[in-house]
Amino acid sequence: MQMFTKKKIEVVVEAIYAPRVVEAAKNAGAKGYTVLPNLQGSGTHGDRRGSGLSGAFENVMVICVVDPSIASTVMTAIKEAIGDAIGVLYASDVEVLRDEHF
Amino acid sequence: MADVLAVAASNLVSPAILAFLLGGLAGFLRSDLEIPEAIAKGLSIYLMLAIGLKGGASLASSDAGMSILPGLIAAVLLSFLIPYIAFFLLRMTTRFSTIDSAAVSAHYGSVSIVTFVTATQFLTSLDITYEAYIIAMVALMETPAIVSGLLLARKKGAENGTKPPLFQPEMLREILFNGSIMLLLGGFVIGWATGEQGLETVAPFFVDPFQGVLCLFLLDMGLVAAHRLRTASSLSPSAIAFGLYMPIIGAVLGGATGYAVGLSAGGTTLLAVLAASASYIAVPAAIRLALPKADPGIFIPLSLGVTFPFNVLVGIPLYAAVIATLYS
Repeated sequence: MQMFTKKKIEVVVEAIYAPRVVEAAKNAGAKGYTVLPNLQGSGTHGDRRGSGLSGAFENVMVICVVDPSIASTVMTAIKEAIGDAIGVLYASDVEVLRDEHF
Repeated sequence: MADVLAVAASNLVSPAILAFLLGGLAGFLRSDLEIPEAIAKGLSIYLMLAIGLKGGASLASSDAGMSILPGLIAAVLLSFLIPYIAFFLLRMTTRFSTIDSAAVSAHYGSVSIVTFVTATQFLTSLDITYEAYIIAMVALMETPAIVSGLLLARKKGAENGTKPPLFQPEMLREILFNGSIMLLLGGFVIGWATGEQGLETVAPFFVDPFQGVLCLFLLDMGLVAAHRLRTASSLSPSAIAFGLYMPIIGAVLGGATGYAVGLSAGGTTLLAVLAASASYIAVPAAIRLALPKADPGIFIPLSLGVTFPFNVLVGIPLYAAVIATLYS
């Protein structure tokens, strides 16, 4: 079976900024994305977990799988969208089956 | 004085307040008790729509008319003004940065809907009536403080030569059309348009179970408040003191305003509670977007962990008792 190498960009970001991140990724050429809601964790900004109603302590993860040729453009756009907000941004290599989806 | 104590005691033994204390206790004991996020959100939607409906329906059956305008304008001005006082006090007494002080100030000028709901239940249990249009004040007082907070933060930006834009489109949408404003005002309009008759048709769902839902919601608030307080290592004694005296300053301003615009004792108490309360839903979201450098580890624990419990346990009966004494 033929596999194709892509970049998986994962962004853990405060929930309120998720729409901006998604928008930036799409504008930079990402063809799709997935958002995992309501995450818990801890980092340089301390304990992060949703406290009910305000999104101020809630984190989500935005996942984009893109062609390696545009990975750096997409990551730069996402970095700008996050600005001073709380977040973690990284990428890794993944293998996909259906090249035309990305 | 005996009256004040009796009133305070009657507040503490209500199921809703005891549920709040239970949540707080479970939080401090690190119990695994947890209200799922989606349920907490659902409960808050219920509470806001219910209070909007009830307010609108009772406004429809009163003959208030244009006489409510001075009160509404005064409420907006109050929300604009309080952040300036809060900012001044924070800069004098704490080591918070200008941005953090401005962020905290915005929270204290805005209002806590749950504190308000708890206060209405407290007044109802004492058979004290209040003006229906106070519900509209709640919705109006949410946002002006955010503008004041941003103006305060902006002054600092101007000094550094990096003046941030006052309003980005996303943020404007966030603060003008946020869920709580839609529900409160929408419920209010539906309640007003359909009147007491309309309310009767939904009363088995929106009126009768209200107290029980409030219990569940306050249980969750207790858990959340305890959690925030436990992790709030960055709060200095002077900050915690601010979280305790600022509501009293707000209550005095709110009470005086209520008296000036001719509200009843019940209405004045509610305006005092609104001015005393600090937001932890609408404002944090707006501030995260507008002032990402402001530390949420300061403003959330302060409004949710310090001021909210203070108002619910001590503030509400205190303001009610003082205002009842002054009015009689």
